[in-house]
Amino acid sequence: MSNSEKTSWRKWIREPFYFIAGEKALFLGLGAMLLSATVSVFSNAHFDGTLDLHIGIPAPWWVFMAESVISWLSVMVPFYILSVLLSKSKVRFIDIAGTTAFARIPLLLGTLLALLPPLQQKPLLITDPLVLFCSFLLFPPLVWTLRLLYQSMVVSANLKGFKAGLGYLLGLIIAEIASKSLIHYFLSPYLIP
Amino acid sequence: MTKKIPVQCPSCGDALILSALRCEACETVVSGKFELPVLAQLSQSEQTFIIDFVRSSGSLKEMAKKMGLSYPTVRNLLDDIINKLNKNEQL
Repeated sequence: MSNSEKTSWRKWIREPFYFIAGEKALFLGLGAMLLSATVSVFSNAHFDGTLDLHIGIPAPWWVFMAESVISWLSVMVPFYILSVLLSKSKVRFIDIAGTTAFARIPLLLGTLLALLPPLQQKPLLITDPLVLFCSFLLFPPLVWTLRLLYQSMVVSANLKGFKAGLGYLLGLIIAEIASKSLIHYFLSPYLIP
Repeated sequence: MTKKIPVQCPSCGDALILSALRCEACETVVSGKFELPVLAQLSQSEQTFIIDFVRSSGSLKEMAKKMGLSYPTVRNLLDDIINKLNKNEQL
């Protein structure tokens, strides 16, 4: 592998939106959401908020899909509004929709990691060192998604520095409140007791 | 080898100007104080981008396809060039 290929590969991992956005990113993001909802049927990994991944009670496939879609919409809408308000560039809705959906791809890894036997014990004892260790494994996919969401705003709206940070933080806070409220309102019977 | 026109002073970093032009045929030299054309003040990669952009009939989608980059990345590159041109014009 040549140096330029390595650099390009690393850039793909670190800043995928440099290469992909819009419809393609949306298609891949929605595909990952479908897959993660399917895996969640077996791992019971609930996305009960934009920044949340918890192992909970069994639920039908559509509940896991609805959680993913609500979490995604809750980020997409405030990110788009804040991007339009803060950016001097022309912001396309499809770029925000696509990149925020694509940013959820690492969470598929989270739902797969949730299949680890220690995390499937019933009852799940968080004091068990093995359970604790496996729970920490769920953090990297979440951190990766958070990083991609930042990239989403930076690339889609051409924001830099303070404006990018402000838009990102505000967007995430609104997204977390909105997703928690919507999921609680529509899907409360299926949430973690 | 194609020589690039230096646009920045290697000593102080300020913008350079043209002070002499020479006719290759008769060796007449015109000296004075001439500003570099706006496009010449841009970097080589920015000039290449503009040429490709014009060749693509100003289509960002086509540019994105040619460069293997996403649409917003190409639009951001263009926005950065526009900002640079505006800044250079204000100086």
